Amino acid sequence: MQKYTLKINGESREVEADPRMPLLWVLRDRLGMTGSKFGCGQGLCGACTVHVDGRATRACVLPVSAAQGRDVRTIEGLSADGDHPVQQAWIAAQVPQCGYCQSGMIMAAVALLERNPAPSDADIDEAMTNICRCGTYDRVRQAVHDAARRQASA
Amino acid sequence: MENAADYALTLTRRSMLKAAGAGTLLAFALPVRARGGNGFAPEQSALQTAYLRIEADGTVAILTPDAELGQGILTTHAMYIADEMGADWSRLKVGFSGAGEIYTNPQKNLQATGRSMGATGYFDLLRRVGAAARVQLVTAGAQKLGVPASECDTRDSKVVHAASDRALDFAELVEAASNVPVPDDPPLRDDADLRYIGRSMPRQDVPAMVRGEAEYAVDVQRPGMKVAAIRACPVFGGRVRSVERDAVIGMPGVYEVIALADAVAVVADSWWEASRALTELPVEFDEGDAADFESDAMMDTLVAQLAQPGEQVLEAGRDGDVDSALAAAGDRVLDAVYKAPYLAHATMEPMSCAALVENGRCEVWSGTQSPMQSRDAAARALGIDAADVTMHRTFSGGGFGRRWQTDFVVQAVSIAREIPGVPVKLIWSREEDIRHDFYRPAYALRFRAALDDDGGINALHLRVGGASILEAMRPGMLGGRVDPTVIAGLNDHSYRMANSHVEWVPHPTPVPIGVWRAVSHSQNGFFLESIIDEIAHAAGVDPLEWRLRHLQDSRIRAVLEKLAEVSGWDGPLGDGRGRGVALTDSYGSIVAQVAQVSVSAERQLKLERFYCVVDCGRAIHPDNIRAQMEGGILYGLTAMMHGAIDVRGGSVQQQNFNDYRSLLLRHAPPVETHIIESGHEMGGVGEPGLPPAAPAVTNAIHAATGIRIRELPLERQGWRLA
Repeated sequence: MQKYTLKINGESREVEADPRMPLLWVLRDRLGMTGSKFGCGQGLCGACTVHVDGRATRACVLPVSAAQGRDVRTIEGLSADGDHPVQQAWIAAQVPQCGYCQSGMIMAAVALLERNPAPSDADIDEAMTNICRCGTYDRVRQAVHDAARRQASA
Repeated sequence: MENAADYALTLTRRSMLKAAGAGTLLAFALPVRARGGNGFAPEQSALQTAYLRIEADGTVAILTPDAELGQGILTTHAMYIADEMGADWSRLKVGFSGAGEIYTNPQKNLQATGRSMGATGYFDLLRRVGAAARVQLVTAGAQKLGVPASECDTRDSKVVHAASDRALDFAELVEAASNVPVPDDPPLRDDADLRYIGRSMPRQDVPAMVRGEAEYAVDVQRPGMKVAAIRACPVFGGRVRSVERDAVIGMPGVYEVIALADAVAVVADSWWEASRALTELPVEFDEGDAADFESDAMMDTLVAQLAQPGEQVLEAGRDGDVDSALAAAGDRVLDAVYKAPYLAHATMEPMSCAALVENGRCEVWSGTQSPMQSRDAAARALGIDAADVTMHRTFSGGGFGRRWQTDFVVQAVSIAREIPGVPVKLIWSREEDIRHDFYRPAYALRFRAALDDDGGINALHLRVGGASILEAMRPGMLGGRVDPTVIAGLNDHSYRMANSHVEWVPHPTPVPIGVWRAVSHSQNGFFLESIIDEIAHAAGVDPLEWRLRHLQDSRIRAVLEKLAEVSGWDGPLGDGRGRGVALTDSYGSIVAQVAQVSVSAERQLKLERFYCVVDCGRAIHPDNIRAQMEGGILYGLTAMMHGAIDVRGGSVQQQNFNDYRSLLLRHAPPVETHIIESGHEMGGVGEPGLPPAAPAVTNAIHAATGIRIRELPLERQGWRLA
């Protein structure tokens, strides 16, 4: 066990963990932040997607030792009132079904829009590789476009 | 939205007494054993029943008896109650009821979410629950206003007296309304007065979901809670022989090692610590009788049995004389075998359940589809009364039939029993989830068909082979009868034919099997709609036109006619592109789809677009119906493209999303759905969107290339998605 100081959603958090413990489980089981979901443990499905230094990152395969000193942003830190343009667009399109993959889906979409404010369909295809078993993909695509418009007019 | 446990509505003694004198409407809702949430709700309300409560500030809290699997049932049930009550949509909160007989779905005498019956089964009951509350509120409000109740109505969470332009908020009437007897048979609103039912109300749970705040079983947190990882014997039916507990008990965070009959669990401070210790835990298993089971060999046996079924064959439908008709057709008989593999559900949230066992009582936190069976299974496992099990229901990270099973609940309470007083949350790894499912059974079907002079069917013989789900769930229950979960979709279709014969060759399997979205229709839709396409092609008739000519049910033909129109069926398509059509009638709803694809010479398949027409009788929530069609199609397409579970040496070979793959966003076709409200009896929508999806695509592939697909998944035949 080692002590780590993590910067999560702008706050400094102290945790004690094995250096190999994935960030996802530090968030969920050490810090009680359960918005980021566990889906595969292998970085395959994206349900655990968070931002590390602004990049969409699969927290289930990122050791806590590698997160030290970097800016971590989770779904809990996306907005104070759930009104980030991407969240608004998700509600407008009624994207979620079971909802389980959507924290990761939203974090991936936010990261995409932060580096590419007006993504094309092809850009969305390339960036949005999260798995959704409910089949919300077409609505995700529409919502990403809608969020881009919302951000442009904000 | 709050955590459901915060306001789970149980029957308080007071409301039980109240309900006891309340006549037939609430009399059914009486069993004392019905418990919900974590005991009594923290905020007691005077006006409170099993399904709703009006809080001091006028908020109407509504509890659904169903699991929220993504089908939007929290919202649908809230619409039923709120519409009749006249409650303001923005002043609702929704959550999950407890488990118990009180919450039984009237269509199936069970509180369980499946068979696409959540919207249909509770339609009348929940409207009456809402209407009863409205009558109580109106009676109380009219008294306060000093006007006749007949001049008042409810709207926007107020009792309104239009004539004097006065209104009283629900908040002001809770106490008085609770003293009004619950009406025996409250009138329901006329359709013209409905403000929510029939409209696409914003889902009540979506805001919580986009904030990451919806609570699934994996998210449950209790003071002092531990987390467990589990590994079952990889061979089905195997048993734990020995465990070297001491090898991991000193590892960081590890709290306990628990051996169950067929699995070992490590309990730790975090799931990762539990999981890591589990991989290092030396375990020996007795593999048991299934250790020589091979799914490939089983499929070969199935196919052989279809040619020579012997005495095992069961009759599932017969009309006319198929044998003579086929004999007369000689070598013009179409004769082919179709195959469908085992499938896992792969819900996004792996199986998970939290439990606390203490002083002869048990609490369970789960996103189960079957709360009553889970409660009873937990009680049996612990040797306690079902009344001593409290079910806290959470959101479900997908269900698709997997959470109908209670295996993971039994595991969780069995682990919790060994550490009494300590709440423990069991989370399966994805590998465990893929390898210990209750799989969609593998089936093979042989068809033989002879055409008549007009290109219609003179004779059709369908013989399907595979295992019985019902028999697997409860051995002996069929008693030699045909299993509808095998045969539905084959012997109940609407195609006209002079001679038909449907048979089933039961073939038990050691592989755990269960219900998978759309159950028999998931494979039978592919089988029959491909066969119909073959027949139409043999007749030289356009496959959609052929169906229109030979379907007997005008309601089904109307769906198809609409589909032809919206899909531009007769319009031109370029080279390498094709359209395919398929339709199924399942769970009371008729769904027809056109897939438009393009295909390259290298078997690169592009799913360009889907058109879907659904007639579910009455549309409660149009946007949600569209979402369920989109979801059913995608789930079906993933199975069509990638889905296959292989069993070798009695254990599943697939492990995770790398070898049990899903369609990704880049593969997903846009889906254009049109809803027909025919006014027929309301049907379900959670499952019916799935069955036509695969055959619509494989028929489109045939149209584009002439290649007939008779076996899934496509990736095993060299197809790749573009």
